[in-house]
Amino acid sequence: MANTTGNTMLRHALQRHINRRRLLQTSGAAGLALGSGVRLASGGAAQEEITFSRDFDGTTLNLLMEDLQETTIIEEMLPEFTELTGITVNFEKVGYGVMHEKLVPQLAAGPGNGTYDVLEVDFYWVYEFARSGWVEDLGQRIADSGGAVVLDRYIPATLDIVSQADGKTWYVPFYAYPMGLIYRDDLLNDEAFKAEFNEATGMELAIPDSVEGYVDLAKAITEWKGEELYGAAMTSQQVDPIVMEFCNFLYSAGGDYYDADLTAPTINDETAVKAAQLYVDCVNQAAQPGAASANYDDSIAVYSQGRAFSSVSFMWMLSVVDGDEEAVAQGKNKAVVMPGGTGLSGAWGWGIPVSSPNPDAGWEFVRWVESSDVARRRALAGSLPTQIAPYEDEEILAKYPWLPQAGDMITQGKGLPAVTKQTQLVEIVGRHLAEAVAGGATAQEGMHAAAAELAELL
Amino acid sequence: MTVPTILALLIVVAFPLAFALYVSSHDYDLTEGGIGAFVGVENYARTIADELFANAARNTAILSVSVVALELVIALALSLLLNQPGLRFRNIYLAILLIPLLVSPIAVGLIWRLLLHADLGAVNWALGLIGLPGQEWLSGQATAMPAIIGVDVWHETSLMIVIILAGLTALPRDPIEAAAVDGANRWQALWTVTLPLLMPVLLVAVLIRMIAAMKTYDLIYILTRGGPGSATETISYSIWKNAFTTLDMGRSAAASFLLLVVILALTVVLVRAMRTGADA
Repeated sequence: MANTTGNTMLRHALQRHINRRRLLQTSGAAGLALGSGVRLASGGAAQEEITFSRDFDGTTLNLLMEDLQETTIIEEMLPEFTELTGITVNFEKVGYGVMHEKLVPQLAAGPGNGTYDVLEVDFYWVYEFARSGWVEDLGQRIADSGGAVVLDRYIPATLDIVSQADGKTWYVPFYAYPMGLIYRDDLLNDEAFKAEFNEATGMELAIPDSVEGYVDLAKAITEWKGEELYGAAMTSQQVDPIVMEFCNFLYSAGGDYYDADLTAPTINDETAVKAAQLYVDCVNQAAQPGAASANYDDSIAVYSQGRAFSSVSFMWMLSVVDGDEEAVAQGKNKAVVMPGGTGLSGAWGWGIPVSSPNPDAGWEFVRWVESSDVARRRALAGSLPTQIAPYEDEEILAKYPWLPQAGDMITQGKGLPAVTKQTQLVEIVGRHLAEAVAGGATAQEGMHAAAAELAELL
Repeated sequence: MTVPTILALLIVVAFPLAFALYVSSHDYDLTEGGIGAFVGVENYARTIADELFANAARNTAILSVSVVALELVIALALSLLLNQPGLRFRNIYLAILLIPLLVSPIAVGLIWRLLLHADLGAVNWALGLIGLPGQEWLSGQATAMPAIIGVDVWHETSLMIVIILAGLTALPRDPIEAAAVDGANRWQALWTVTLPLLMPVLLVAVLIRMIAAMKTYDLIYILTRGGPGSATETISYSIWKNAFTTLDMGRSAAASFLLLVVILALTVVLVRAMRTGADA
């Protein structure tokens, strides 16, 4: 089992390498550069005229969707899809925490026996769903999509994260949610504030270039300002949030969960243990009280109230803070790639479950929602795109000036290792890391214990 | 009437149980397709040998015994107060005391998550007023379990009050009045007459709550997700976690049956206690 998985991973690693090389070649040819210079790749072939079938008139599609802004954006556009195709779409909107447990029984129900016609798939269900035989290989559907779904139009990194696995294309990326460092740009450019900080701590107030530098900065701010201004607003609730946040510390410090060939855990090597210690220190010495049990509402509240200098978080947090009229921090923020260079890059993709009662009508929905025009309008409404074109669209860039930085985070970011049970990986790491944060184990003990369990997943 | 009743019982109770028992004796990982090979008691053996399950069992025992003991003492005291002859506003007190019972466990969890919030919560704010330091209630290794016990006591004591107060109200007055005539003071009457008469009711209340407490899942899910680490992970939470993260249905079914055996044993004791109470 381990060897098979290792070979599979080797192929996947090779695929990643090819994709990255393709990214550099195509982006060089197109001459596109965004943000700090990271290129997203070219936009691909010219758009053909897309037609949609009315063969499924009267069909109703059911989708389980996370209750967030992206879903609302698509939901508001659904009447035009119904007008085009005669297909009605129902979104069952739920919190993220219950999605996996609602989906799994439906997916395992067997061909045609499920409830959901199209899947919204998070980046760490990719391998579990594909290798369990629960989703269709979309290769042929994409080839026959009449130009509605063209993979060359997507940021290659998103294809790596949430689309392709084991040499096949299982999902179509539709929404990116990379993580990075969000910080108070007004304070960073406030000369008086900087001078006071320098006088109090002996440090320069600047965005650091390493995880260690970031933790030192955040600790220094908290030590200096106390309750008035924490260095970091953190989201360390067990299990999912703490792992998502920790990934940024781990990857940017140069660590990972497994070795490159996926043959052994590396979460307990020197680099990873150091990253875990830095993370524990950051939660306990730089973050707001209660950070260890904080969810995103908690950390966003602290940051919005102007009580934190920075937050390692998802890019959508920036939209939430900047869109909040009552937030003290509204409009005072910027975002950059995680100090150290590699953050967590998450994304959602569309999939067609084998258990779908209406797979063809479901695919018609994917064709429509991923067609260039609809994808552009979604981006204009505030969705973080997975396609390249919106990042080059002047109207969209004018409305969302932080989009280039988001592009940098996506292209430089990394998802989770390609083990089948990524959900279990998150549970294992989250449990041991939370214990280390609470002082029940040292970072080293926690990572050693996690490594022993992670080895079982290979 | 008998045949439809038996059929309904078979469909509603027996079939799911039999299926779960079947699953528990087979290799059934959802990611590997359908139900696999027969493995006998292997899933049970692996579950019992699992350190995490043993930890969850310990946590379940600590939680169940603590909440039931605290709830019993508090509910008994409040019930005795409410049962005093001539107490004014009894119904108002009772209505207030019963409010937690009407709130769903999920809502209780969310309310207390806010109250116990380390930064913005009312509990730490109140501690600050009297000069005590705030606590990381839900993320502290030493505070998470006591916090959950406290929340459960707040929520479930009402149920105990309902049962015990009903029992107190139904007690015959003659023995208590006879004790008073014989010169017993209130404490003596309570210890020697009221509590012995009330014992079957108390036993029923304890068992009902113990069975429910052993299945605690929702408060854990909302408040701590079993953390920090596995400090508050109970058997029910562990079963859910294994079913939906490892997707190992065989082991999850085996763990469910182990919990069921304990609960069935308690239920047998409960039924006997109720019969004894009825006979008395």
